Amino acid sequence: MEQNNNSGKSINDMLPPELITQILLRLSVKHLGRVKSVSKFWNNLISDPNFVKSHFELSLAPTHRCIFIPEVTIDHRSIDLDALSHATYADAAAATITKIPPYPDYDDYIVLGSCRGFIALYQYPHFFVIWNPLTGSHRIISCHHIAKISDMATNSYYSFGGEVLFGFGYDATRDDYLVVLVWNDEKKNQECHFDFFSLSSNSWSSFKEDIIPD
Amino acid sequence: MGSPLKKIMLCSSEKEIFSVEEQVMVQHSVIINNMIEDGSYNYEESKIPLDCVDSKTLKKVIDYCTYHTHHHNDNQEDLEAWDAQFLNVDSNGLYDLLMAANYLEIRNLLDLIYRTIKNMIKGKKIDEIRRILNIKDHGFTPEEEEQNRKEYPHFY
Repeated sequence: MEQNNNSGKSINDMLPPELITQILLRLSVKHLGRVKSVSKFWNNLISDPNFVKSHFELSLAPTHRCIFIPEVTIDHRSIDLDALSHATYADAAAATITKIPPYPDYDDYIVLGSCRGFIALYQYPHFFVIWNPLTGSHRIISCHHIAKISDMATNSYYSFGGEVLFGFGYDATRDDYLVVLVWNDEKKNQECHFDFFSLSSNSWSSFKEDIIPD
Repeated sequence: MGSPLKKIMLCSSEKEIFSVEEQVMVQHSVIINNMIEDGSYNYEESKIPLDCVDSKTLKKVIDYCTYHTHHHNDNQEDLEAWDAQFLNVDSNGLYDLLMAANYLEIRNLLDLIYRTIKNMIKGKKIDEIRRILNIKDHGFTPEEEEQNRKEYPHFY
């Protein structure tokens, strides 16, 4: 439907803000960036912190995605099952599958966990990937500086095993995602280390505890 | 759920009375369903006054609810085709329908109109969106507008 009704009134005069918000909430993140510049009023609606949260909740609810993680290849894929059932084979292949960009030097990802639609992966030997299977976007987090990880790389440990505890979660009070590592330093009397990576500040922080917690 | 044969009266802003199968409205409108359930509707005397919905819009809303009540077993494609035809109205008509669906809390119609307007915006350039939605006063200062155009020329 293409309307070009010159005698019509502006949508902003016709609809209350809460209904315009409902329309904008249905746009993808990609389109929202552009739509912000359509009008100052829309810009204000989209910039509202509550908008971001509602947008997240609405965009997650209706999707049925399936993640494929093959054992021997780097071909991790996320597939939108809803789109798949409505599309022809060729369409589906093109439109519904997002892949982690392959890093040819590395041959294996380990899936460490997921949180609110994001998936945390570990790429031996030196970095984490936080992947959004919906959009295909991803973020690489380097962890070279963590002594335990470097040791493991030197000694060719391919997985964390029981050596390092790993967590990936969401901190609602700060609206931030955290990668958490906990490990003991055998070289220093089992000193317990906590390392946190904050996605919003894009930095690691750490602290030590001399007594190992139960 | 009301009996399928019962009728209820709806009254538009022009005071025109529409008689509708109760079940049709109860199934679709949360507000009317609540009125019937809590017994505040009197079948002998009541008309439900819809002061902010004009006759033209109310007729469309009733058409939508009636069709979807009687055709809910149709296949998805046919229903979507009917919906698309149903919403082939000018933008003011679309906004009126949206306001009415919001007032009566007709969730599937609300969602349909939200998606329709979203699809009018999706993937379009800013100048085009402003034209389609008749946004003449964008509210940015000339400096802000110029800055945006300079920064994201491909958006316009």
